[in-house]
Amino acid sequence: MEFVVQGGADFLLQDNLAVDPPTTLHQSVKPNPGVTVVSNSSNVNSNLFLTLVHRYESGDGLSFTTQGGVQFENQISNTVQAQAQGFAVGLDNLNGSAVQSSLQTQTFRYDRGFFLQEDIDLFGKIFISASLRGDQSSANGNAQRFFLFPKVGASIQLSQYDFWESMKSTFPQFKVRLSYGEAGTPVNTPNAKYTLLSTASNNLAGLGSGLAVSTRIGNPDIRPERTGELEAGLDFTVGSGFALVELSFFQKNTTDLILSQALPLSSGYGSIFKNVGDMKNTGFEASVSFNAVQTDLIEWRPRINFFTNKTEITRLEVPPFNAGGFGLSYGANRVQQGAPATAIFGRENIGPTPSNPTATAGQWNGTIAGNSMPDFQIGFANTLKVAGVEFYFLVDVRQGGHAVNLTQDIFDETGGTGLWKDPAAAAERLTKLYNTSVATGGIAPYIQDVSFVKVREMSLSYTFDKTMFGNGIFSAFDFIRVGIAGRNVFLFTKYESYDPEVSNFGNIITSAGQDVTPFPSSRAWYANISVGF
Amino acid sequence: MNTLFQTVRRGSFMPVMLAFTAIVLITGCTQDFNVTDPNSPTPETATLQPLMTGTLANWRYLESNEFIGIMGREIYTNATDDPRILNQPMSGTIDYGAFVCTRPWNSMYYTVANARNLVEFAQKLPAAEKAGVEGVAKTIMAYELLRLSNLWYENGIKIEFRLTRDAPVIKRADNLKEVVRYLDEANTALKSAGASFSFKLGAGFAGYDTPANFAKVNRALRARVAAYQGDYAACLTALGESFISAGSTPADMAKGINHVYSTAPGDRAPSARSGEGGNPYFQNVSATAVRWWAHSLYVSDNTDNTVDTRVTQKVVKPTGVGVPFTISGAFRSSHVVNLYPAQTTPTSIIRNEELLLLRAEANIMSTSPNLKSATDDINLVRKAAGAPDIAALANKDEGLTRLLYERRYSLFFEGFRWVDLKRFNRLDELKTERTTDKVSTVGWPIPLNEIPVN
Repeated sequence: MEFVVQGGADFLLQDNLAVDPPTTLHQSVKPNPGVTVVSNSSNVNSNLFLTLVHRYESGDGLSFTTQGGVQFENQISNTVQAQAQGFAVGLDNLNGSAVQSSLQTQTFRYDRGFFLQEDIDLFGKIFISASLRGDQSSANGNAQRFFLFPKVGASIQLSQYDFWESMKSTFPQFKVRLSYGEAGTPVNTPNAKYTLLSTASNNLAGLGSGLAVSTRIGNPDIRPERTGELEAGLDFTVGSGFALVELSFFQKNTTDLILSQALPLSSGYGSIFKNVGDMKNTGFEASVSFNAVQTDLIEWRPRINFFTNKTEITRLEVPPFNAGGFGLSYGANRVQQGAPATAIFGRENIGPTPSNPTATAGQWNGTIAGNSMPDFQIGFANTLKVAGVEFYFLVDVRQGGHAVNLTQDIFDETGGTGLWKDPAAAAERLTKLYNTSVATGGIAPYIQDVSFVKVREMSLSYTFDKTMFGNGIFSAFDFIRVGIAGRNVFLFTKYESYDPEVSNFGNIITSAGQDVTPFPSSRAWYANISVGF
Repeated sequence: MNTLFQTVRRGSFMPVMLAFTAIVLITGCTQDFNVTDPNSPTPETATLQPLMTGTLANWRYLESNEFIGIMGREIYTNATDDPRILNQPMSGTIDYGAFVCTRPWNSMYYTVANARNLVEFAQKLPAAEKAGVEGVAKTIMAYELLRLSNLWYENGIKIEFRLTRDAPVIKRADNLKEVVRYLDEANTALKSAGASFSFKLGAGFAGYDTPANFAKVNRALRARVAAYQGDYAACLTALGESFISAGSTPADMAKGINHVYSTAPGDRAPSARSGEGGNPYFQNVSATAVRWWAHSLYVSDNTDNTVDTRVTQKVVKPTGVGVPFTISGAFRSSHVVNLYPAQTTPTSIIRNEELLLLRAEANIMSTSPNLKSATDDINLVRKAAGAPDIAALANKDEGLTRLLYERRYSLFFEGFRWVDLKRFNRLDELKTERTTDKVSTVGWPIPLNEIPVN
């Protein structure tokens, strides 16, 4: 019997300063030009895992490992932000500003759970694992309730069996695996269950601070969303360690999907976090790592990843609603049963459409204008070592997937089309955008393919090892490595905006692919020196 | 997460660790899991004045005036940030799933929700206090429903406030009855609200901040609805109980209640742009980029445009922009809107100038017209604006044309022009600039999220 205690605590302090100087054009025309935002955020995260482990080995290759334990996780954060507007040129201290406002946000979240797990190893040939988790979270509507999540899995090392002998030289290791597991994700917003009053911007001169009803209504029934994942895979090696291949097919069914449901605002409330339905993800993942060349002098290890995924909202128990974007006429993300969660809808997809003006209002006609989910993604990483020189690069390829290129639209609509490779096409795009009678009109020309090839990472380094140092001043060191590294080094794409990868709403699946002059991912170069003792 | 300590096994540590575990379990399990939000109060802990203040602050949503202004060819918005702000009202094709449609709907229903919350809160107060809160809150509800009714005009609005989408859409004639119902209930409540309110309404309500005086505001609004209903007898009755006064100075015209603005922390009107405090429609007319431009005909259509302060003060030639505002050569304008010359300039909720014109309207349109009285009221308004008197109105048709002219200039950019032309079926008087433009004859569409679908 073993007793394992794991615990940790993190303290993260973050200071931010954002300055929008009064001299910029957009600021200079404002009543109080210049904005400075100073924010301070402290986060304390702590956890404690207590586990009892029992191992039984029969001596003839049979082993049982039984584990059980409890887990505690706490997250506490406090963010204080001060914003000021209206600066004299050359000054950005908050004291010198005309208008000031401050904001404090505190969050508390506590999770705890237990787990039981049994792992069985049958003679190194068959592995069986089963577990059960129970989780409680202060973010759930019922904070006291344990939600249970089972997992089972099994794998067979075919290469351990006698019948594999003939193939052993080609595939020395060959494993087949199958597993099913459920996991829960509580709502991300710790206060989603409460209906609160809003304190933001409700003050009135002479009357002090005001309170207004919240635009979000609390949901006391909010439950964790539950994802059941069925995964089948093959892992095998080729030759004597020449290549390692891992293949996985997965199907994830998410039930009790949590989304911020848009409510009819005539009720006074705009949204509610709710378990609105079910979503399905089906995908395939493959990775191959090669030991292509391995000699004393040269080493080359490429690795290729391939990933594809399809998603669909399979059940929706609330009326379909727009979840992201700037409205149907500009390509909206909409949660619609039967459509991908990542679909982009235009005016021509939701009734009444230009080609079917008598369609029922709000009725989906079964088509979508775009889908922010790529057809597939490939990552190609290479490590090449020649003597002490190491060269590494990672290339990301994304094929397919759409974004609404509203950056281009804004330039088009305000006459700034000179930027584009084909300025004349802008007029055609605009004609379609403003056309209210043609089925192919609307935002369609701005929903564009974002396929790209990106050299995501690149580095070159040289290692001086101990043998080079002799008995001199460097003899205390094991090695010294110098190098340079870059991120987002090259981008190849036909997509005409700042960055095909960036969406204005971050990584939220139901508001992906919205491009309104987003801040692009920046190219960065680093110089490294590392020393080993 | 960093792991600070890990994997202590068996041996002599066991009892220590078990004891430690026991302590953690006991403290962990007794920890209060019902974390309340530390950032915001709940409806249970709120008090009256902050709720009233919040309602008044959110009532200051003015963007619907901008949309009515563009649709009614009063102004152009030089909206370089989002071309839809100008293009959709200009073309009369409003995207029912995007903000041009949803923001006015949402913002005004949000104020209704705040007023409803006040009424609910008032239920636990003593009778007179409760009546005072109800009198103000229901007047605000009526005002917002009327504004919604104006912008959605023929499409109708919802008068039930459900979390599901199935609340019926009520057409104009019936939703105006609902507005009247709220106004009359408020008026009745104000009569039993005692001599003073138990809350403050702020500087914008100076002179109208007692139940008796606030009732005069309520009746002024009642007169406005009556005119929209074509019920001119009720309009005159309500005007008689309102704060109408027959002066002829700018100060006489300005009598009434206002939304007030400041640049103090947290004082931000709902349609304020990019977090700016103060009056959201204030603009610096000498800046190098100006957002709100007067429609090209606003100045030239005024027969006294050199003296009428409703032209000379409300719009000015910009000093910072070199060329007249133009987009694709279609919209040209030489003047910019200067209705609110400072960040703290108040915006009118209802004022005497409109009441005089409402009385003129009732006297023109009534079944027994009194054109003499209408002429007098119009001349009071014109005199205050520095414009010469008009000759006595000769007939109903001339009276209505004159009335719409005066309302156009007196209530410029305040959410009236398109509504007035719609009321009297004269929208064809508005000029369109581009072949793709059209003057909407119905109003805004019902937002997508309000329509039951599956």
